[in-house]
Amino acid sequence: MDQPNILEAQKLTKVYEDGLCALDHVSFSVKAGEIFCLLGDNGAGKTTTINLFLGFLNPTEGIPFINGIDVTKDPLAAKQHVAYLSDVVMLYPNFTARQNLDFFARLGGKNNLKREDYYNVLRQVGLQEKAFEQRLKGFSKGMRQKVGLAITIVKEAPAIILDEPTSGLDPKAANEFLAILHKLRAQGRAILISTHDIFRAKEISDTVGIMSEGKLLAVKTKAELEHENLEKLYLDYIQGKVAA
Amino acid sequence: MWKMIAEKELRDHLQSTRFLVAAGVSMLLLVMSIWMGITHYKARASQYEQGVQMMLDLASQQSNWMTVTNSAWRKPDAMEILSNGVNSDIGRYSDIGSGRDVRLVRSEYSDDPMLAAFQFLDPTFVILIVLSLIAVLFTYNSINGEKESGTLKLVFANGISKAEYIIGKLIGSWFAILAPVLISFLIGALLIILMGVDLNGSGWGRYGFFFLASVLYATCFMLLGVFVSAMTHRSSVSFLVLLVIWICAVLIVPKAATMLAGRAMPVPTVDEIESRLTSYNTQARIEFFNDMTKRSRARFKSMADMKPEERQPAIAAFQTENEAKRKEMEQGITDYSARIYEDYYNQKSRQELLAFSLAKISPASQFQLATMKLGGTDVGMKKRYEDAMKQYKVQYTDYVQKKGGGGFQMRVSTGRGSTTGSMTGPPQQKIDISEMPKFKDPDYSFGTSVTGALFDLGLLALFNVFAFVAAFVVFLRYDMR
Repeated sequence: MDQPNILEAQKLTKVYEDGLCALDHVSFSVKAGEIFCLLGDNGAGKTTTINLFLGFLNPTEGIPFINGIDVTKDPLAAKQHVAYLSDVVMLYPNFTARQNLDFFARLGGKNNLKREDYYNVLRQVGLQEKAFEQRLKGFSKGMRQKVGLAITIVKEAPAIILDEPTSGLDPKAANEFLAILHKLRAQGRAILISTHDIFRAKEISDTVGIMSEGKLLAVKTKAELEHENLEKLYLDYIQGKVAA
Repeated sequence: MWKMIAEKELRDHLQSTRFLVAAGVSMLLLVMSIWMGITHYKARASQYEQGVQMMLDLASQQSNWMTVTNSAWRKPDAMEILSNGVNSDIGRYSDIGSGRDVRLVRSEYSDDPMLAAFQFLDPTFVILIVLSLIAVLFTYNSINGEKESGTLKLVFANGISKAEYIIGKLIGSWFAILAPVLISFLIGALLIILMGVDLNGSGWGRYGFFFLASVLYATCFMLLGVFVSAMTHRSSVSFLVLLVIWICAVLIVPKAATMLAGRAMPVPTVDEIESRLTSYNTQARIEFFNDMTKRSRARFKSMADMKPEERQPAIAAFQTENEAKRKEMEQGITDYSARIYEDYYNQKSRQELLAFSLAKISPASQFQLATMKLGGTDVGMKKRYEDAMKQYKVQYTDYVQKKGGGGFQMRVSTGRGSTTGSMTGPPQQKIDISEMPKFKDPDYSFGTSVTGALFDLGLLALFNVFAFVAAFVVFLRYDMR
């Protein structure tokens, strides 16, 4: 049975006041149980797309939808259906891992969770038990990333948006992180990831969108990419050797 | 939602080392300054008791009211504990007597120049400097710091509005700043009780208002911190901007306003006034002596041919005439002194009005002026006491006149004190000082102090409202990315 669209970008366009076109009629959708990777170099428009979904920017044209809700019309309602993790995950260093999780869970509308519920989520993301009640001050980036992922999980939102989630992580931590994403996909979450890591994108995603200079040049499914060299394809697209 | 943000903000502050250190230091300094204030007040109270008692003991040993060296002492007010203000700048007592100008002498700073150099560490000073700095330290990165750490985007990826967030943020930060102030004031109140300071209902009321002024002042800087943090995108920039604002508001504006007012409206110094009065006084007395000498020669010449029984009434008439002339001379000096001082105080109050109006653009000046009013140690303190002492002088000299202490005293300065002699007045038995009028300190009630401070407190409150609106509006336009 065809899965519903959880995240949908309809001709998203963003032109700044200085005339810079950051996003040019970008359309795509992410279904439940799908991982969609937006692949592109710096300035391609990946983060702008995410900012439009989260209501941090208003589109010049087009509409971002989360679970069928128009973000431009009702951003607060739309954001109840999405969990987000940014590339900078410092969180609150004076709070313990559990306290950070508790705050963001309640912010996401989960008011009745108990200490053990938080511990379960932290176990799920692979954080060591002894770190549950430790302040984040002394955490490595990988450990903070795990707490960040726990925050996105605990909200139980149908959509998850991750902005460069594996940047700065060592290979082991990155692999653990991707393993958790697989689990979330299996739970039926629609996951949108922005990355410039071609290998991780191919490894994890069901669909890859190649972006350059604010345009979505191509959308390729896992099946289409099976026999393709994604790196070559990506370079061909951004160098204009292949027509979008 | 705002409650959740406020709770998070408060907890974040309470769990931070920065808070523990800053709150600990401010509480320690505040409590220590209250303790020092109490010790200082008790020492002053004891000094006051001794001074008054010594003066009464000396007076009771005299046999002529003319030889009594009376003085009026300023009774210490327990509220000096909180705001020392001009208390240490002005003299502790003034000599009272016919022919003596009311002049408060022997200030604490004149007795102890080291104290003048480093000033008094009272709670007002601690709050003025330390608490405002701590409020800035707590909030300089409240918004842009969250942006730098990525938590702002993480928070706003949830269904929370900017208005709810900023309200929660401000309330949480406010409670974090309120906590050390409240605890310090409670410990301070306990110290006041335990150390046996007799603070009446009015005093406690003023203590409460002092707390209110402190909270309003700290809130000003907290709101400024959030405002600047929401205006900038980097915490290093906001810290620098706030440091400049703090230096200007706390250190520059109050002093610059006083200097500007001094330039715009020059007022003669007290020394200049005193010098003019001394010359007038000396001239009037020389003229009086010359006139008296001239008249006495003429009188003695005319009495040479008198019979002995006729001389006594003539001498008595001469004495009456002399007394009238002396009174006329004294009145002349008093009138001249009153005129010159009235003019001085008028000029001074115009200058002060300008200086304070300029200084009041800074919340630090608003706070300082309000607390000085609450403590009764404002710039009007000297005049209040001098006016009360002038009234007392009239009362006392009338009493001495009635007691037969007429005549005039001649004070010969020996550099380290004075010797007093009398030209007239019959020798008597030891005087009874039980009915001698006592100096009563000028009335400075709860109503007077609070009414005086109300305008500055109102300005502080207004500043808070502006800073709140500014922080709120700026954050509503804040770019979350």
